[in-house]
Amino acid sequence: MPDAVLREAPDRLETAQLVLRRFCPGDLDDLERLCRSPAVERYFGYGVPYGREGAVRLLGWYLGHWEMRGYGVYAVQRREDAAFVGLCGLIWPERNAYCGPDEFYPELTWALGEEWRGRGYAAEAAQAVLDMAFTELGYPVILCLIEQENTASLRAAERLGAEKLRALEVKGYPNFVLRFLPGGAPAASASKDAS
Amino acid sequence: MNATRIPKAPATIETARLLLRGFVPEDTETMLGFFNDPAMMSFLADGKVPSREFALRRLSLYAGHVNMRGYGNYAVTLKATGQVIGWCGLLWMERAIYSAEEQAPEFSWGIGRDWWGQGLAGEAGRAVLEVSFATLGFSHLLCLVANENKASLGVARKLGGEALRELTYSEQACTLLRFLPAESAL
Repeated sequence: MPDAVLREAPDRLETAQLVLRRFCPGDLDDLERLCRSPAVERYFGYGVPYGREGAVRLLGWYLGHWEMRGYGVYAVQRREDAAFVGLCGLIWPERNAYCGPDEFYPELTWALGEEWRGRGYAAEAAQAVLDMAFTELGYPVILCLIEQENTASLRAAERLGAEKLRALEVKGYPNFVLRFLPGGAPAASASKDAS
Repeated sequence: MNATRIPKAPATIETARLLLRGFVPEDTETMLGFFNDPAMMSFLADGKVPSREFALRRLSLYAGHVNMRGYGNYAVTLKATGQVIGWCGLLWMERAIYSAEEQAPEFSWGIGRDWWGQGLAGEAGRAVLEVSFATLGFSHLLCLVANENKASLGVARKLGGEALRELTYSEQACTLLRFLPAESAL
């Protein structure tokens, strides 16, 4: 069973502007702040207020995901001052159950605080995670599930080389399943080797 | 409670017949069976059949919770055979359905139906309560039980839980119970 394999990802990735590090218990307050941003409530919580409870659930799951699978979601920090700017990483999500047998791969997930958008942080973090997933973890495919009305994230994913596979409804919301392949990004400028 | 004071629960708890230990990925199939039993999972009654991924996500949460809080849910195993027969422990999810004064870890358990009627839920529950008050030092614990789930309400009362109030959760009428350290219940 592909998901039974423990794949050890590095605890830390570095890019030109960012440090990605494994989540730790002390990140709860920062994660809560992120969970209260409207886009995260909308797209992570499907419009249901996320807040403290959402952050607890998310952090508990992220920490355990690392323990049980050896890879997971990173806290993303700005390199210059270690400010918490968001999250980015890989999850083996519940919703993969809806996907076909040839689609059983981890999903890329990311979210940035409102004030950190428009600086290329999301793309830089995501590219580093994708490179690591293909080269170090050896996955041939990484999936991504994005709501159809989330045009900003769809654009970001496509700029990173994702191709739309098909439409999928999740909790009543139309989504696209997208796929990343190794070497898929046309201009992979920022990677963890960039340092 | 702040992050600098993380209480530390024992990794395992032993009782006469049971060994409570942390969850490992290999427990997924067994736990999925339990999660699919409506009698053990009152709050999944929204027509969703828990998938293997649901079980994995939940076990990840259990493992991550121990890391985050220093305590959590245990896999309840039979000492004689090593078999996993359910779960028992604490989760503090800071759920918005509770007031600030009520906020406390929730005590919960589930024992597979093959092992009902032997007092095993009570045995695991008593051990967890003792650790919660004596070792972890909690002033109180919460316990949310669907009113339909008479067996669990019975166990909760026998373990010293007192009804605080009724509430609707996951579209079900529930009782919120509170557990206090034995000495303050006197």
